[in-house]
Amino acid sequence: MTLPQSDRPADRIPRRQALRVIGGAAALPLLPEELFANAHLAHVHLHQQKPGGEPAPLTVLTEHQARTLSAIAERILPTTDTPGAGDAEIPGFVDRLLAGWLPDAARDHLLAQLDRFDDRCRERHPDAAGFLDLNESAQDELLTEAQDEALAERNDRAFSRNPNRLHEQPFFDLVKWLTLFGYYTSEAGMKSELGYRIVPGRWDPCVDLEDA
Amino acid sequence: MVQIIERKTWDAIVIGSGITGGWAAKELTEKGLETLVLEAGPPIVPERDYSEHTPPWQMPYRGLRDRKHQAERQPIQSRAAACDEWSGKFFVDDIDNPYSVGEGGQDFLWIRARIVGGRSLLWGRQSYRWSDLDFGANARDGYGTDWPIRYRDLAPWYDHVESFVGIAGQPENMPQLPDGKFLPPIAQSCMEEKVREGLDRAFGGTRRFTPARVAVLTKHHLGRRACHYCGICRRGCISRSYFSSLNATLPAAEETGRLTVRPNSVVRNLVYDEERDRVSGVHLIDAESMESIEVRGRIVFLCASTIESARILLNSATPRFAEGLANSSGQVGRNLMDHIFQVGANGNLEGLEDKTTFGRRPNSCYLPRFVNLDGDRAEATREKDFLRGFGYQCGARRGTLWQGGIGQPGFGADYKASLRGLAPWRLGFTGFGENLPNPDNRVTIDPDLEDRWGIPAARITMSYGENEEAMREAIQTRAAEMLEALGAKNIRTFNRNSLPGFAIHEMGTARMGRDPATSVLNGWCQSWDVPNLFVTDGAAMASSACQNPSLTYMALTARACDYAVRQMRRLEL
Ligand SMILES: Cc1cc2nc3c(=O)[nH]c(=O)nc-3n(C[C@H](O)[C@H](O)[C@H](O)COP(=O)(O)OP(=O)(O)OC[C@H]3O[C@@H](n4cnc5c(N)ncnc54)[C@H](O)[C@@H]3O)c2cc1C
Ligand code: SF4
Repeated sequence: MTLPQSDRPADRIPRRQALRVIGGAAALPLLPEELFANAHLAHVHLHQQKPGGEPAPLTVLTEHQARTLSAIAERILPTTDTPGAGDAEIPGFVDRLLAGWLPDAARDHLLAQLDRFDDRCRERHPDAAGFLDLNESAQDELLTEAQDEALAERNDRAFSRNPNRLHEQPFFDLVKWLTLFGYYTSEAGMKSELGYRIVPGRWDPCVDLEDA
Repeated sequence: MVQIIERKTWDAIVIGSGITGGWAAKELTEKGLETLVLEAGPPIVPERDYSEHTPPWQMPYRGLRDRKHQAERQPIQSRAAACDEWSGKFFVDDIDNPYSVGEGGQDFLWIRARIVGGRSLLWGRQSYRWSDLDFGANARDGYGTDWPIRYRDLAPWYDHVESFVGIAGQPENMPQLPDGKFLPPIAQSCMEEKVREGLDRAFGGTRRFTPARVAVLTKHHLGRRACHYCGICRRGCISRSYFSSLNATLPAAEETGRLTVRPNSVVRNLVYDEERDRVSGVHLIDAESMESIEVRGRIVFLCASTIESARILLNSATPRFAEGLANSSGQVGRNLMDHIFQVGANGNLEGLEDKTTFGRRPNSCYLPRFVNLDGDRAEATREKDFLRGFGYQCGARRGTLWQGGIGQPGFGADYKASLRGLAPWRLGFTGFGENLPNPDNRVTIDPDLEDRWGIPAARITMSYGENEEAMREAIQTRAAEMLEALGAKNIRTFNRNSLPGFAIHEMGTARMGRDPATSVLNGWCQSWDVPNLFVTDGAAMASSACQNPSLTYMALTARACDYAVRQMRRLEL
């Protein structure tokens, strides 16, 4: 290894730099408790704000595909006394998976199958522009059909969420998995269905299920 | 080839800012030494880099990880569950930091962090004292060399570090797992209380199901806030409720005004002064500018973690120490150990269907070693198939039903309702088993492999032997036997034959001992060969016990600092 020869004054690290390394955390214990609580909330808040208001624009899905996915998700986990998967930003999540996560084969499979499913909706209901246009019972009928096909196709094999096996999964199962995972990791799903709190604030080793 | 030589001579240079480097920095600065900490990785800014309060819906892949990045840059690190979408950035880049695996060894998983704070940000915080069952083990059965210390030597130093760290734990009065200076324990769930009673009844109190002892604050402690049970600590902790270098030791050292941390400083080798027979300084590569720099110090504390510290010593060969600095014994790099792991059993427990827990606790439970005990319990607990022992990390919890939802047919409102609620209580035991010291399990230097900074890389040759194999069997059967005694249903044993390294408790590569001919360090973690050199990370360990080791590293580090400063004052260094 050859590096340029030079000589430097002693003590190359200014104290400012050393402080910066641990400075943020070092400041905390000096705050009184109430102030700390605020700083803490600010931190929580900061993280909650991160992604910003508007959802990111779609990069892979068309607007129509996105709305179709959202509508399918809403039928799988519909709005009841809690929000449905239609409110769980499933298209944004799936779009990010398509763009940067799914292997090519799985991406192509999902997009092709989504379009095929919509084609079938139009074949059955020539007046409709696709799944989106159907009433709920017509939608459920087509999804039931897709579910039956998936069951036959799977032939007792369990669903595999291994990314390299996703392109082998039947369409209905794939969309159902994306819906479940997307919903129960969404703000709507986690807060309403799972009672999730970012900062529980305490540990209680024994509570009634109803209160949880 | 060293180009830039800094003129200042530091009182002490500490290499690494992880669990042990943080402790060395705190103790040495508090004792008055101007201390330079060299850390290979970049600084961490808590406000920016911690993400314990970032919920899944704000992560790009909702917790499914940045799969493609990991496949490309972290194929090894990403095998650890902790290397998830949030914490992945704290783990090393495997391409920049390569190592090889020696012929005849098993694959080795070297899981590490190169950041200010090291793996203290990521650790599971389980903190247990070792006892004379452990410090006397090598002497008793002849594997490895005898520890030069016993529990009584370390006990005051356990007190010392625990008082600062803050350990939530429950005293149990068990000789094999000494009690410490505890903060209140994190209470066990109602089901776990039943398990504790049930096991006490079935096994006469010999199998004690206790809240895991963890370095987490259950009340305000030395300016750090009590835990608020947000859950996954390895993402950071803005309230500084769990122990890490960043949350605790480095700020304390900083307060003395005598600490300088130099991040992005990759240590290449130690500089040895043949005439004075001392280490005179440290040669590092600036990770960003690639400049080659030498810094000078009166004493050096090597705290770069077990395998790195061995690598640095081996890369510091001199004419006198042709086989690596401080290696006249030939033991540097040898006796690498880890714990056997990913083996145990679980099963469902009936009852308390209407109960659950609130909050996300940062621990679970622990079941201390109950085999091959010593003293008057030796006879009754002797195992014929293996030496030494194991403990379990364990706990009873209820999963959410939605996670099994993909296996349930149907969709729609009724289906959604059926996923609401919790699965039955499931009790699991995961064993952590002791690994015998073996000189053939070792770290050497790969002559053909360099890291991104041109530094020769480590080659790791390690495999588990028959003793570990036999212990794996016992870990499963003993766990299943407890589940049966508790009336568990659907009991399953598992043995994933975890590769060496995967318990992330690697240790032993510069063992302490009583004899300079067979050990690298004396009982103070001081090099026999080079008196102003101390190695206080896991490299110093002469055996592996079965308890998580980091608390013991901390106690050994603090004790070594005290000794080193006393020696300096007496002008013996
Ligand atoms: C997910 C996980 C869970 C764990 N759980 C537990 C647990 O519950 N209980 C327990 O006891 N232990 C646990 N451990 C292990 C624990 O983290 C380690 O034992 C501990 O961090 C070791 O401390 P250390 O100071 O030796 O090394 P580290 O904490 O790894 O720090 C070493 C530091 O040295 C720096 N360094 C390395 N090489 C160089 C170089 N050439 N130049 C300059 N700096 C260098 C590194 O960047 C790093 O910052 C866990 C580890 C992980 C990853
Ligand atoms: S669970 Fe407690 S210790 Fe862990 S990150 Fe949250 S507040 Fe900190």
